[in-house]
Amino acid sequence: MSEQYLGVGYACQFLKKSLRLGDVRLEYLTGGKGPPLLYLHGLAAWNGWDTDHIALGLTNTVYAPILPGWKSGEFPPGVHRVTDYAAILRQLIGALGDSRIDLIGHSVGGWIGAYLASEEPGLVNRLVLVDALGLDVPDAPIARLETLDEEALFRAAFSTSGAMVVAGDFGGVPINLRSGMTFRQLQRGIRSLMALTGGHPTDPELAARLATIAAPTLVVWGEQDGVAPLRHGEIMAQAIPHARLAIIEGAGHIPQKEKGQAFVRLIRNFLLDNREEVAGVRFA
Amino acid sequence: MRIYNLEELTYPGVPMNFGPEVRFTNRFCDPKVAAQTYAEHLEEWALCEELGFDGVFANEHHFTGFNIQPDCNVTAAALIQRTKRIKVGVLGNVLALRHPVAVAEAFASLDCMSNGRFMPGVVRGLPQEYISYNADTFTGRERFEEAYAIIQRCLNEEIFDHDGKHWKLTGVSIWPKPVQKPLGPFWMPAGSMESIRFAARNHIVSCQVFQPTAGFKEVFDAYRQVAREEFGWEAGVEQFAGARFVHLAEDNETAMAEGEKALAYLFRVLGRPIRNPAPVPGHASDHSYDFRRDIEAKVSDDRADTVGPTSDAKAMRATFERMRRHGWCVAGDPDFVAKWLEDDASQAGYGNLIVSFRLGNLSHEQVLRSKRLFAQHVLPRLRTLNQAPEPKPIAHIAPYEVRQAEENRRERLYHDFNYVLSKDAIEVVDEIHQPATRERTVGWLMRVPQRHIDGSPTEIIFPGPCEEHRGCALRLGLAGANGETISPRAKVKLAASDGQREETVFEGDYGAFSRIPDQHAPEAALAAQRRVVAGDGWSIALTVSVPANTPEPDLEAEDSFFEIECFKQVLTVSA
Repeated sequence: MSEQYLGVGYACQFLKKSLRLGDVRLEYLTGGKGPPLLYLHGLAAWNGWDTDHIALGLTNTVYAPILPGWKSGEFPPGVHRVTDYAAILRQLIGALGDSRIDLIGHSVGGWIGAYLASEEPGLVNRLVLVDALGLDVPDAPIARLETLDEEALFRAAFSTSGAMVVAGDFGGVPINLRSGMTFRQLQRGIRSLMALTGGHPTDPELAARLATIAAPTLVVWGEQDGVAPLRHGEIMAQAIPHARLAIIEGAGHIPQKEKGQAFVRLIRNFLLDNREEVAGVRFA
Repeated sequence: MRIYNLEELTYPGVPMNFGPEVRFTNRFCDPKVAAQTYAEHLEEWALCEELGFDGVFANEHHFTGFNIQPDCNVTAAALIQRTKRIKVGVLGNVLALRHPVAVAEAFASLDCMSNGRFMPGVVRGLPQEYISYNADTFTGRERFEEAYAIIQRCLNEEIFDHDGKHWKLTGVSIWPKPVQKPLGPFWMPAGSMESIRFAARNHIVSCQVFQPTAGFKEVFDAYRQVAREEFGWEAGVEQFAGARFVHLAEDNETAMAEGEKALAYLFRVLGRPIRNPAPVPGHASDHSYDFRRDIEAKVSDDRADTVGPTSDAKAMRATFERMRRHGWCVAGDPDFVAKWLEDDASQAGYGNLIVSFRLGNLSHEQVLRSKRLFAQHVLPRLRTLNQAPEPKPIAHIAPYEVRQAEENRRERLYHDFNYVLSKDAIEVVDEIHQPATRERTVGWLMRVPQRHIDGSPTEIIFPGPCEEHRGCALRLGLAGANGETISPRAKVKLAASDGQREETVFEGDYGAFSRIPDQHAPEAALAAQRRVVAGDGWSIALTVSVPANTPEPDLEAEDSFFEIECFKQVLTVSA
């Protein structure tokens, strides 16, 4: 172990900070050490410093903003569409004093991240898009989330057939996804998404924009994503010039929760330029 | 069935009126209470010999009041002193936190201290242990497997170099060797698929705790299947150990009331003292989580995972009864405990029971009473169950008997040389030229350095034939000034002298050397005929006497060379 190794214990620690950017107050979590990395949350899981944040904190200084208004559904001035968040995040990056960042976006955050990386190709060093929303794919459309009952939403979001995943110590502690925080946040996130998209969470211009992304890109998809089907990931990986598609087996829309260890190894390897294989992940 | 005792050595004095922050630091540790707890545990363990147990285990955890033994080798050494016949084991050393050579040295020492009664064990360790030791979780498993391989080499090989991903070692040859040949079997908790596969490959005894009977069975069945299908052997009941907390009293009600209180205390101190509750990245794999999940799904009918102090006595009792049913604490009268464990062992299929008495904050007196009841009423009933021979360890790596066992060992050259004398060695001080009428003698004169500047003597040792080998290698090639061949009848002599007397290492015809097509081929070289030790200031002469009218060797020629594989000893005497 090298003397410089900055351990998991350090990366476990984080701060919650807030910034005023014009009329908008932006809260974000930050921790870890290394080059700056912006981690954009998806429909759910916006307020925790979870296993994935800790893993990223081993290689990067992680900034995980909470999209203003996402929790409450009361959006700040200037945010009328999902992609309007890009301007706020651009301001955040400027305020943090960084000129180039690594960027990871999950679900709706992937949509915003792809938009930001295409608007300003010089800003993003490396890009990771995880089960990103936004593409309009007529033969594999995004699930009509607002119409799904609890059972159907659960089946769309998670690959796990039971209501349980396992994580933690002593060989694992069962977690009930259905009654857990993630699932409740998911329901609130869907309401925000519908409010910002008028019930149509797609962006007809996104497909054309992807070709202008300059950053080396890793597109990560849960094989059984029932929210944005794998076909979306395939199209993104083809449209983005320097992209690879990594498929996580046995995961749905939130691979961080269902296959958290494969997820963190995969992204860590990408950020470290490490080519070793990760069990449960295949490259298309 | 074999019956062992393991105690978690739980600190008993953590206050009950604080929140979960009691776990984070050692604020509530009173060293006087810790000392008393150690003293009581050692007495309880020592009693096992008298009560007829097969052995005792010490284990380790770090940064927690749940178990205040951070070094189970220390505890094991104390237990060895307090017992005479029964086995003493560790379950086990956290390999992520120790150097593998130090683990092997400790195991070998403990086996010697106990005269072969030691049971070695290794564990992966918990996330908080990695975090506070700043060990890399992402490489935890591969380091565990490499460390295990190094430990096996230390215990079984005479000397080795290791060029691994995480450790680079040279000339490792530990003292002492263990008494058991090979030392083992090893024990480890193997609950994830990766650990099960590793244990099955290495014939390690698999231990399980904190699972209902059906959970044990799933894990042991997975091991049996992997052993059979992937490694081609049948794992018997002796390969499995079930660990259970028990608490006995004369009647069920007393045992349950005491057990309930103690279990509630246990959950006050069990768990991870890390501020962030998220699963630590890199420590486990999804594969192992999935395996646990499938087990959980099968056994989770009414499983309780936590129990805390509650004012609702009825709810508390209901929780305790669920946990009692699932084996977190088998509390009852002797008949209940015996029956429960009989069912557990026969259904899950284990041949080793590791039983713990000191649950949570049970008192010394309660534990002694419980243990005596167990020994008197339960132990005899369990003995006859799941009987099997002792689990057999395997040593993958050439055991140290390999040299003796090898046929034709006398054909081997001495291989442990650390120095080669040659034309270029610093010891060469001069050439020898003795023209004579009939035969001329030429050669190289060497001198063992005088006492080293720090006062250390130097020796050059030429090992001669013994039962291990036929002596150190001697190689010699000679050519004349114009490439002429040197007569095979030339006499070669290697001798050392202190100025008074001369000791001959080798004497023979040059033909014996020149007849060997390649003197560097394995075991092809000639060898020293006699062991000679050349001390400080001795001279060493390698001479060749050629018959009259035959070409004389040119010592400077490219093709004139010699190599003597010897042992050069510098005894450094320094503070």
